[in-house]
Amino acid sequence: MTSAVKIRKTEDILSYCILFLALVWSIFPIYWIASMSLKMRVDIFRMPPAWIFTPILDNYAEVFLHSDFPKYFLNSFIIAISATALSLLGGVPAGYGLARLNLRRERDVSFYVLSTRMAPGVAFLIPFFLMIISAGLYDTYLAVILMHLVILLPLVIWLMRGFIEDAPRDVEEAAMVDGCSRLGAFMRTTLLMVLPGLASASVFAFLFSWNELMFGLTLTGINAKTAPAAVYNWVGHTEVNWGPLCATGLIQLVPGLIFFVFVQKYLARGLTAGILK
Amino acid sequence: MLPSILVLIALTEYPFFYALYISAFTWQIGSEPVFVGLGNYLEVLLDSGFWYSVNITAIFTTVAVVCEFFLGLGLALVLNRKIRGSGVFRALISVPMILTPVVIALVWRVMFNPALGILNYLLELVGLSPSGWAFHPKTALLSVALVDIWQWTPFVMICMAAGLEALPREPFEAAQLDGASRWQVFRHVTFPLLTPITIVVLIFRIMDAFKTFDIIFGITAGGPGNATETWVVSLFRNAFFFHNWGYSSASAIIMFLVTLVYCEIIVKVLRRT
Repeated sequence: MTSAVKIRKTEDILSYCILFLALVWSIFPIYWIASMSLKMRVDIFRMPPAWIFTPILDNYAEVFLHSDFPKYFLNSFIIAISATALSLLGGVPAGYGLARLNLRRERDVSFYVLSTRMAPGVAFLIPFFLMIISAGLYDTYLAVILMHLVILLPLVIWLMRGFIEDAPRDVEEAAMVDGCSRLGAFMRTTLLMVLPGLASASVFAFLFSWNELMFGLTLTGINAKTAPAAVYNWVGHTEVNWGPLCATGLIQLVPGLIFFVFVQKYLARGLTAGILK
Repeated sequence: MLPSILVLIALTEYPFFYALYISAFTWQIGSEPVFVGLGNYLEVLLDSGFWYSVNITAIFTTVAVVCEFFLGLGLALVLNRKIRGSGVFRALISVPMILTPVVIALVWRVMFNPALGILNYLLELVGLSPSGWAFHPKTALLSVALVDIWQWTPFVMICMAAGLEALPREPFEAAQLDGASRWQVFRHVTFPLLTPITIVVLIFRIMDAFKTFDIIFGITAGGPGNATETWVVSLFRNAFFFHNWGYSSASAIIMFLVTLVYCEIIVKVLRRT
């Protein structure tokens, strides 16, 4: 074996060690919440940890049968689906406009969309909260959906603009020459080409809404409460009910883990609102 | 196109001007608003608590982003060696990014527990003295920064890995012919070529770390005392715990202005690269 090959081998082993450590570090909290959700109350805080234990489903039974969480999950789901649908309805045409039409003031619009991506949610929330109160919309789905749209519209516009710019123009133009309207040409050609992009934009929108805490916490009371905000229901004045809390938490993580498989390729793009491709 | 831009404008500009309006009054729910003009802005800018929270935000953002950048870049370089299975590693290491922040905040709170948490157990196992983690004023800020690092290092990693993959080959071949050492290649070829992507990554990480709410609120809610009270958290507390609407609207307007200036700078920088 030459020394170059030897060095390469050693480096490969080193690489595996580094990646393995990073993997364990990244995944461990998920394992931890899953194991806590399957443990009896006495085992949760046992030190040294109970690595081997008999899993129980009592915590899940409590979440589904003896708490309001089915309702909160449903609320979160309805809000996330509606906010996603509305953001696509508004964001796809706007993204198309930015990508394909030669608009005056396109730079201003772009800057505007970027600055909404950047501005902290709490700065929007304060005036929005007071407006929602005075409009009598407190504790409704609509209040949370509108607030989520503030974040999702710029995200979807920006992502779709990028995906549409990447799709070749000529097919669409050919369809228009053949007598399609602009909308018809778009639906028959470009839209089909950007479907994977559209799907990943929907997933990003859905996950943002599903994961969001601050707006759900402040704009709802009992009726429209979202699941992330309701997690605090398990935190009492004197003690925290960790078992059911972890069970709720794990259920909360499931959509993200499932969708992750589909959006993995587009993660960088989605998180930088389309600037990185 | 136009309608959705108009909706977006309505959803963002109207609250902005409403906040501008409220910020000119002292207003507690249940009592009549009193007009104070720019009084709230003066109050914010002269408040030592405000500058304290700005300082906390700066420390949190700097520590988190610097660590994320170097760790993420390191992992990207390892991934770029393209050993077998690196795709699977990259995917699994990225998982923290899409998890619900409040849930992971609560898990970390359990793990940080000084008496019963796994982290102190592990420290003792290797013979180190236990830490107060997020429950001690001295270590709380670094602990929440650690969670941010946990969640967002993968972001730097995937962006930089994508950047590395897209690099042209010729400069590397040339450098090799010239007999450059690996460090020299990295320092004088790889890193300069990665500059544009580095700028974008840092722009987003800085702003998103600056905005962090769920993680800090879920782990410490700004405490213990006010050890982790960043600008965003202190704004939230002032508005929704103490109902100082005038004061917090003024603070929110200042935050908007900071964001706008930041975006102006970004656009200038992005055009240049």
